[in-house]
Amino acid sequence: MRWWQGFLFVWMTATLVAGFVYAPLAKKLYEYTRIIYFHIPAAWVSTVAFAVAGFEAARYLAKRDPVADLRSAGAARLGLVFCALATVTGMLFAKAMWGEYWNWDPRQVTIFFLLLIYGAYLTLRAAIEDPERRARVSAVYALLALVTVPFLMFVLPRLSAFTLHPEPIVNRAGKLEMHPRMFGVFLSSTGAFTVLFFWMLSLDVRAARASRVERPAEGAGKQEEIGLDRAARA
Amino acid sequence: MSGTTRPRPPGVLAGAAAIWTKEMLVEARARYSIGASIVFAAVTLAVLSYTAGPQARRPETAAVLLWMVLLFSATASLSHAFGREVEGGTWDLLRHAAGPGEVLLGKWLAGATVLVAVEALVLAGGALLVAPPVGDPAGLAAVLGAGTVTLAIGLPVVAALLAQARHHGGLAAALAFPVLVPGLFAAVSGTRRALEGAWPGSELRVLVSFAGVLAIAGWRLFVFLWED
Repeated sequence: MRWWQGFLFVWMTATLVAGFVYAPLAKKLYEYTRIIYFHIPAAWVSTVAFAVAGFEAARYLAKRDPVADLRSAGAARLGLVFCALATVTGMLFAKAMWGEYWNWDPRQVTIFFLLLIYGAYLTLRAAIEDPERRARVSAVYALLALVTVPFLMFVLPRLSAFTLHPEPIVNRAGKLEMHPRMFGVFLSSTGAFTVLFFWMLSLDVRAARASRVERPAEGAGKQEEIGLDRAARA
Repeated sequence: MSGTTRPRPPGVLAGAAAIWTKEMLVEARARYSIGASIVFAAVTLAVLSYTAGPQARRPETAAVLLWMVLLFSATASLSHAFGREVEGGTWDLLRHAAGPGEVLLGKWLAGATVLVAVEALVLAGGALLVAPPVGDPAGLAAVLGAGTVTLAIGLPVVAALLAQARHHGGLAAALAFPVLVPGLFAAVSGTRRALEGAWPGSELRVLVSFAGVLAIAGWRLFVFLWED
């Protein structure tokens, strides 16, 4: 175990404990306040994952680096996991606060569509056999889908008058409406989740590279295997 | 100096006009896109308005009904925008005859033409079957125009992606809906407001900006789909 991995473990554990014993409760949210330190960071990481998937897709199209394609696909897969976590935790919160798991709040709808985008991206990858074509076409879709994310996350929820969601951390007036201790724990949790995502992404890419380099290059995948082999040696 | 002059390559607009003419001629012969759209629109409109009953006249229901019908019928026709070339083996010929910008612009224009024709029929059918009161006709027309442009821009780009996949039968909806959903939300919300009699200013801003961003992204990315 490397030092920073141990540090991340301590960091996440301390944040979890601080969420219960250090941060005060928010008005009207009672004990359910704790979910802020898990639900919002998960949603944040799913957005970061989308940005990384888009960035790596652009890098693939510019340089045709097969590792960039693996990073893009890995980020989308992990983004799907964190998006599902944000959805499930949001549903639990909705049930506790508003009595229903799902009530078509604009933010619930937008995160649901993020799930669909990630799902469509991975389905598209599965529908193309040739590795070079798969990488190129899915990179184009990742970038096209990236265009919708700011609209889904930031524009559409503000277009609707109906919402049960609490105000965003930074509200419409641009003011931060959170107790400083709560905000500290929230920032700590968001940072820890982000580091965890990048660690998981590096593991995913290393596993994908290792599995492809070990397999003998054959047929349509030969070009990619060679590229990965070179990349792995480099 | 020789007396012969080399033919000048046509500009993007001239090339796009040629592609649009080709698409319209193919459509006039086969009537595939418009036929599929109209049948789809008629079935969806009839089923949804029958199921909703008198509730379909309410602005929020009528707005959803209208855009569901338009989206499904547009997907039924425009998701095959590049399928004909791939299945007919004329993709390479098209690439030799025109550049990516000309082809994409021509496909956008052809898609918009088909959509306008389908929309006219859907609106006529909707007025006959549902007949919701329209509070602000100008606002409704503006939202319909901006929404049509959004669909006409987004769907051919998704069709170009689909043409690269082998088993793309069920992929059209899965790929197109998530990409188009911001435009669809704004169109539904704007239509509801126009039916209620309010000017859908915020929704139009979102629709126009989304269509613009989608057009720029599609234009830049289509080159990479054009390679193969």
